[in-house]
Amino acid sequence: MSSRFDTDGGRVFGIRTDLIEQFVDTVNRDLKAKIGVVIVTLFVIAAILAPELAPYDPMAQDFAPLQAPALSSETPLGTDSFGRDLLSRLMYGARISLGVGLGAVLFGAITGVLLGLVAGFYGGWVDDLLMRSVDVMWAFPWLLIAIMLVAIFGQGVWNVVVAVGFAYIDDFARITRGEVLSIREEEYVLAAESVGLGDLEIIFEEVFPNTVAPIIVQFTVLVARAMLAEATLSFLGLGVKPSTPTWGALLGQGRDFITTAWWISIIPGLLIMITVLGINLFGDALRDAFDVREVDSE
Amino acid sequence: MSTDSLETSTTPAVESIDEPLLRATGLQKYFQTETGLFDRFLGEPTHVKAVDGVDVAVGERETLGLVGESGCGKTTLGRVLSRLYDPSAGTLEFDGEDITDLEGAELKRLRKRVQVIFQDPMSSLNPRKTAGEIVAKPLEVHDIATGEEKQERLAELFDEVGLQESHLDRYPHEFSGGQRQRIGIARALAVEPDLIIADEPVSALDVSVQAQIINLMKRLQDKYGLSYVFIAHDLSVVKHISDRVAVMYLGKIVEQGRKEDIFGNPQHPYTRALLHSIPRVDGKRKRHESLLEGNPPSPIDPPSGCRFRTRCPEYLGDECADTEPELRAVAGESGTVAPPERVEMISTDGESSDEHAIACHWLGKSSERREEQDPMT
Repeated sequence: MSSRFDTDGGRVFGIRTDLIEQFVDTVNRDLKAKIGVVIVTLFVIAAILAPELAPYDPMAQDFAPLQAPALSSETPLGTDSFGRDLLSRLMYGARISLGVGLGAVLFGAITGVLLGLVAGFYGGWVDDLLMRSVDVMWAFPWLLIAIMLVAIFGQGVWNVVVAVGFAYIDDFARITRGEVLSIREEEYVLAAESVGLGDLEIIFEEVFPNTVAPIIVQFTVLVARAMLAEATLSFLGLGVKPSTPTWGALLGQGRDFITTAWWISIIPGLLIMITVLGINLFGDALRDAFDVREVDSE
Repeated sequence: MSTDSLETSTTPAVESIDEPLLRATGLQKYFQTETGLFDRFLGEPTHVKAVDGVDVAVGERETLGLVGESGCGKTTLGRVLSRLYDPSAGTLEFDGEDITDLEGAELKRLRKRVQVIFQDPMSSLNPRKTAGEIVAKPLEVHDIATGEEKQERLAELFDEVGLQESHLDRYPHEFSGGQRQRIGIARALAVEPDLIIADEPVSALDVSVQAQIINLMKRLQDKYGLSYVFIAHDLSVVKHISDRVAVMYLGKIVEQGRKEDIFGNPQHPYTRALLHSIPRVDGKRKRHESLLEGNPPSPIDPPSGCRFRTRCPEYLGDECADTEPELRAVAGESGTVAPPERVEMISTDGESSDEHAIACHWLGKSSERREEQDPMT
């Protein structure tokens, strides 16, 4: 059989290999996608390998270089007011910032998308119940919920992930539900039912794959907001421990020295910006690759 | 006028098939209209009576053509017959078994025997699945074939519907309309069903492609002994493929019979008007002569008595507005008229088979009087 078609195999981590091929194609063709992939890969590697790559312990204080100029060979980016190496702190900070940013949005996305899928697919009172609950969540100021969650569960990375991600559930639920409502009217959903598929199979095989495009876009937009939200919580002392380096915290701490040592604030800010840009470009590439129609029409 | 035909409210007025594959009795499907919060508490819920008391039967290896204007409830009827929608009332029997309330595993077993072909070949195929995946799904769901066997079966199915094996890993948007409908047919055929409900399978296609698809469906019927419920809004499409025809108006069947009865000796004013509206090659009819005016009334609040009376070219009088006519056998009844010369596509010499029935107050009235009032002569 000459066909490369195979309905059983051809999956890596549950993702069809032809979709991975398409993604590689998209990246090869599209410069913006390439930039996005490079940025995201670079930052993720820096975060993962921070213990190996960082020149100093991010917590170690050394007051000697405090007097040294910022761009010395020993501490390329200088130190903060406690004499901690800024470059090392930024590398370690990437772990928390990227982790909380991605983790929180992932938490919000999984919860919200599931709610939206169920609400949109079943409609009726299920829809009313779920979406009104989401409305209630939305009506609370995000910060209040975050303070409440941290007050109950205490500080810590995972609690920050949940506290930040909680605020995004309603975004994902609403977007997904809207998509599902229109997809539900498509005949292929009815066709799947007539073939004998169960509700869960229909939801995840027929409906969900057709909702991913706007979800990916929303995901990449919210990662940026989540990283800033983590900074806000850290600033208020509700995030991770104050001494733990995160980009948001570094940015906040550097504020006091903005007139004398501007780079302490500016560099983490730039990093957040570049990461957000990279994730957005990465997300666009993902969306293009998964849209089988778009790939062909180009 | 025979009296016994009036006492047939629970059983179909016309019993033609001894042991039908699918039989619907008194089938209803109402949809509750969208209402606001206040209506829900204050007002009476209103319903769209999409299907309102339908008796139909489909025999083995037989094709039932279901015709009617847009919005007459034929698609809904098709979906209720295939149990994609749950009926609001009435019973459905398939192969002697009551399938009205089947659920879960039993419903899944029914799905293996009753399949559906959809109207819009673009919308009925998931754009993110390849043609092969789409057709393979029923094989997987019903554990019919796996691995190598599945690949062979797929190739076989694609060949059967006139597609190539190289089409397996293409996406729906890479096909033409006709090819997409072939994928839909292959999907329906995969489980080797007994009955296929085809909801306007050719309405969205070019005329030349329509013929190909209909011929394909006929060939498959002969080869696999399939039964069809073939839904269309176009009588000429139905004429080619059907053994029996049911004409629907506003949720009810107004005339049914063998194909020869409907096309050679139409008796219900609505059927006669529909046949009248088919364009003719010889140009004997002038275009302005259309007998059907306006749109069908709302199925939320259908007219009293006979539902067709508001548009009927042969309106009889108060009786039409007061009582609802039942579906009764035409044979041996007065009140029938000679088949109009212009609609005679299949010659029957004006004789009705005993399956031929209409729901009209003219039945039992004077044929001469109807003849005089006939707008077609």
